[in-house]
Amino acid sequence: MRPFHYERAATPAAAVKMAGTTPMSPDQPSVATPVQYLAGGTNLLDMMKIDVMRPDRVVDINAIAETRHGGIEVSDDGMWLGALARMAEVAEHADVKHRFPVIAQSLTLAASQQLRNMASIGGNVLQRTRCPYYRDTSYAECNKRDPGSGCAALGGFNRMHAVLGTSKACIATYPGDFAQALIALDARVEITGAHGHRSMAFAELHRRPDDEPHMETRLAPGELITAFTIAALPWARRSKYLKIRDRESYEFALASAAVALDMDGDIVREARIALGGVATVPWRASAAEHEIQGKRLDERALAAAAEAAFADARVFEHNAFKIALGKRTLTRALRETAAMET
Amino acid sequence: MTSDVQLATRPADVSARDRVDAAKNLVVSFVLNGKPLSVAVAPTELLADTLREGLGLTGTKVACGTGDCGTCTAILDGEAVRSCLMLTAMVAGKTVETIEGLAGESDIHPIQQAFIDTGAVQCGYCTPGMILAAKALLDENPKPSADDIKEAISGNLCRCTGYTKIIEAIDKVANAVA
Amino acid sequence: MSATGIGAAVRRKEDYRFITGKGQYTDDISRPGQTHIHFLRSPHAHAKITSIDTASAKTMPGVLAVLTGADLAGDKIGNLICGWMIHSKDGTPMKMAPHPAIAHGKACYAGDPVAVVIAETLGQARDAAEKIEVDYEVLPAVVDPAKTQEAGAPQIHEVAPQNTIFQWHLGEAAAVDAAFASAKHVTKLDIVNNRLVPNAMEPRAAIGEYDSGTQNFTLWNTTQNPHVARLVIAAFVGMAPEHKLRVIAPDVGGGFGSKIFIYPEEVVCLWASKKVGRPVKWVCERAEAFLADAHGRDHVTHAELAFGEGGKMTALRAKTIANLGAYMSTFSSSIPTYLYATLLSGQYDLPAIYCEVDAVYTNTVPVDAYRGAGRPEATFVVERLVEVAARELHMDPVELRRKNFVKSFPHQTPVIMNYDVGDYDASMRKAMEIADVNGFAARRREAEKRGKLRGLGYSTYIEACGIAPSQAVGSLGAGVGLWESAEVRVNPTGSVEVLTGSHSHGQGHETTFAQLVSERLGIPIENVSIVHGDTDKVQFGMGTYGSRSGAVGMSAIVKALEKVEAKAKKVASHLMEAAESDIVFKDGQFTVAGTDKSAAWADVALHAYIAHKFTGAQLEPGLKEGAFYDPTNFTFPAGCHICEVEIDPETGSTTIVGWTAVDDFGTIINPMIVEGQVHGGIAQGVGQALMENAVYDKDGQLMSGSFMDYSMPRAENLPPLKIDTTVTPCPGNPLGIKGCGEAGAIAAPAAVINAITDAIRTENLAMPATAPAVWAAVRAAAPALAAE
Repeated sequence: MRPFHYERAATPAAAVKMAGTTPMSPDQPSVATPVQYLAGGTNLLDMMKIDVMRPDRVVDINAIAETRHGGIEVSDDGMWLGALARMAEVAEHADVKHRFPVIAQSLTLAASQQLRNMASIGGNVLQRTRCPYYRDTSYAECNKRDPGSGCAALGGFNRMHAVLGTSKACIATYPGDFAQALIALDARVEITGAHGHRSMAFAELHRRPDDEPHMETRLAPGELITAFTIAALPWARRSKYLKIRDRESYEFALASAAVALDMDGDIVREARIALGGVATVPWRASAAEHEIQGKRLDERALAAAAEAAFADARVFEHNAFKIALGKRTLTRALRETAAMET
Repeated sequence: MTSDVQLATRPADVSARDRVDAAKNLVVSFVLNGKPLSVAVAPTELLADTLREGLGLTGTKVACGTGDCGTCTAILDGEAVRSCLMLTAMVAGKTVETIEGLAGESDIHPIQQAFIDTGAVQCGYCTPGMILAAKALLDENPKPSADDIKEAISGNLCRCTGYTKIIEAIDKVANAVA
Repeated sequence: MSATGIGAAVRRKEDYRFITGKGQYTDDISRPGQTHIHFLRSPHAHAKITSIDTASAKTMPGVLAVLTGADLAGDKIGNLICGWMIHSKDGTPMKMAPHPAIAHGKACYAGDPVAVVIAETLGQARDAAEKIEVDYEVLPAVVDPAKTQEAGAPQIHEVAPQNTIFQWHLGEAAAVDAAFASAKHVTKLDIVNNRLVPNAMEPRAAIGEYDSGTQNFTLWNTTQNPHVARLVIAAFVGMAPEHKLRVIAPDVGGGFGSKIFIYPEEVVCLWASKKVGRPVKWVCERAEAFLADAHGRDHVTHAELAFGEGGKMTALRAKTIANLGAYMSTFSSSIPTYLYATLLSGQYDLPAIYCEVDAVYTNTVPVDAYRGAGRPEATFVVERLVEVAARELHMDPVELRRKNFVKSFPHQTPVIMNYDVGDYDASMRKAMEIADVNGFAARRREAEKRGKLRGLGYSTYIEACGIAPSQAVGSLGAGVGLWESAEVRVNPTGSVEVLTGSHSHGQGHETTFAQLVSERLGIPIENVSIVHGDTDKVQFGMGTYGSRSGAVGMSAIVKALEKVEAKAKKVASHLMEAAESDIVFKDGQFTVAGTDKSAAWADVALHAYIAHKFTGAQLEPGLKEGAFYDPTNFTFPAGCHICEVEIDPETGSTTIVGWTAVDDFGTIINPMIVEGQVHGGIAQGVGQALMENAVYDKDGQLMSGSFMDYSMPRAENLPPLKIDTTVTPCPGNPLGIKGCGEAGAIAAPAAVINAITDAIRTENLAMPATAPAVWAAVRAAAPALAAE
């Protein structure tokens, strides 16, 4: 690991202020941001060990967990999740499990107990892709690391790569689970930075690669995720996360679906669908939602939703199986969600 | 804000691209296996390295360094964590348990005894991490189901045992008649 | 049976240090003044090294030396070697290419070391390595064993045209062809035995230390066979004369074959320690291990099984391409030949067998023995053929097996092996009972109601263990003998140290070997220590692999104990003033027949050393005896594993819902330890069948080079295992032991794939049978089952 200057901040404001003392260009690749916030460290320290990330300064924000931002607040209006809450805490929280099951499931099905005990949920949504060409700096071609250098995955071994949201510049898969659950529940993300607080729909946080895969999110340099908010929407309780992997535990998704449904009898009143393992960003499948809204969830509607979800998919040499797998994952998730007792 | 971390001055060469071993300019105080101590470390130093190299506690192993295998498991404030993906600076003010702290003065811990009794040890390399993962589980959930046990050690790789006897050992402790 | 003797589930003596974190593995050892070495490895799978500029690296902070292949050659350090000569069918010797410990002029796989940096700290060594400027001329690479012999494929080594190391064969082609010509039925299969990465949990490590005062070298090393390492490094690499090199293998955290071999890193650590005048330590990182440890398996095979009337097997033929990677590792040539083709008879009375094996170079990590080593590949070929044949012939796979089992012993197969003893039907019957095969049909129907597919698969495997009779393996090309040694040292107080040439890296020798001594000498197991893993302490020995430590290593201890007992009786006869022929030794007591005179073991031991009761002319003082044991045959553990799976046709996800193993290992010393060995072997076999796969891209980059990308079995992947045994004691060694270390890994892959293919009713499924692969197979075979 390369040397860095280590500081600690006990409040979001202090963290942002510390980070603000280093000038940062808004055009810099996300991975090259010279100041990094350190929470659980499970992703950041891994990335630093393999030399993909080389921050000059690391601001340890774990002390913020002692404030409200390490907590979970559930009320009749919905839920507020502090960004420093640990994955395990959220996953094991009784109200979360009961009232927002997709959130708890997405966290439980990720990583291992030890990592879930360490990792913060704010950091989790920002975890970096597992693309091997991105993670191994001996590959010169990676537009995410080095803009304009090319994409080694396009012509390489791309079994694990994305089929949705890809571009000529990048096909790396977004690796997380929790983010899809947040999208399915219309979550918002609260952000603080040098210019104050703001919030946005969580679905807007991640940027598709397009021509600039090095710009991974809409966070400005030095901005810090402080919380996630989820309204008590009618479909929150009838929600589910289904994850298909090469093995049943401790593995990133080959395909996953976060589904939330508001049912009127057997008619779908409202639907939210987000897909993982198949896309470059946490992927809201709006076209699939449209196919089932107002309809009875029969085989025909399920098939139409699956078709719509992957209508724009583009496959590469080794990942064609992901379309069929993704469709099956989605239809099963929809079926099981519809059948939930709420 | 924290009295247990003293930040020294920033090393002059930190912005240089040439990596050098950073000075051990950070004093971190924590409780290790029941005893308070302070260590001087570089900001980059990982807890696993402090334990193994700085403190000579080589029961903590590093078999992957990427958080995937669990041989570096330590217990931090009661929860199992990866010491290979944690800066030593991050444990300031906290309580750390390693395998060396598990046995009492006269007795080994019941989990340790169960590992012996069921034949859950083969090469021994994953054993400290497995035992600590089991301890963190049983401290929080004294009567885990078989699935709970599997989930608790799903982050710990063992190449020798096929896990069967490890699961049996943990179950034996949980279901022992008091 | 005593509480600590043979057959008792004695708690392991070694465990206390492991459960308290006090194990001492190589990485746990720090030598005064030690330096750290970093290996700069080729990022290219195949490249000419046109120049290496180390000047700026040498000026980096903390750097003591930067060394290259040219320096190694300049110091006349010899190449690594493969120690088993195989001749092609045309009589030409195998094409062993030079394998320098640091590549010189050319890198042949991604991971081939091209330079090293020795520095005060590891961080400094790594930093400096970044300053080494290597100019590569990248060459086309080939990674696919099925393509490396094609015209136009890049040639990796000058000595091996078409990248072919040897074209070997075994058996009678004419007899086989005749049998096929008159066959009533022929079953054919194309099989890929997937490439695996051993991944012992302890990464390899080495510390080299040179003492300029004595000119002695010491190597601490993660090795399964310290004496063989010393022999090769002395006699072939030429580092130092054998008596000036000490190799210590402290606690070793798993091997599975991968720590048998003599690797570049230990050679370089020794050499560099003399160069810098200080100890040099290397600890492999996991990502590096994926590129630095020999891989396993990687066969491509076409196999056919011929049947006569009524399902009687008449002949088997197989053509295999074995990928040995970029260089020939220490025992690589023996794995796809004498440890593979010789087992193609399985448990069956097969009149004719013919096997051709082409061993090839590719631009990949070298391939060598991995748990089972050749025998899992053979078992997979035979057991898949048998299961598929049963389906084609509409016969019960059990009946087809039973009809063809070898039933009388000894049995000479057409492929060298002479099976000494066994009862294959007994194991199968017992396994079927435990697995409740009779209830399977009902379970399958119940699963179908839930929309799930159930399958049942058998694997009745055989292996050749107890490796091996030295003269026999010598005639087949082995460069060494495969006997084992032991020395039993009785101390004046009666406690005993056994120095064994076997090596324990998880097998529990400190317990099982002590059980033998405790039983034979009638002394408490606490009074016995097992010493191994240090060439300065222990006489020459051959190490542990091939399930040989019980059958061969313990047999050597038995021989030494017999000598000790004989000598002790002489001492006792002087002590009790009786004729030697009247001395009876039982349960730790010497008695004089027909009298009430007795002497305890400890008294006799003491008198052996104080030598007050006999003169030097009558008897030598002391009580210490050594023995070398050379087996007369291989041993043949065999058994039946039954795997039951349930598959979700919508996802292709496979759950192993039942596993029964009934193995015949001959005499069992410690059932608890044997169970653990079987469990671990099954886990590795299940890993191969369901999830593990070393994948290269077309440029020769290893794409599954981390625990994130290479799926290792985890706790949730394995079902509860039902383990039992049948016993036909091995007649070939004094204890009747056959060996148990590899059985699970040998049996399991075929059992899993036979079960899955039974469930999905198609044979077209390659390992690893991941969920997407199973789903694709289901869809191809029965679209109605696999929902889109």
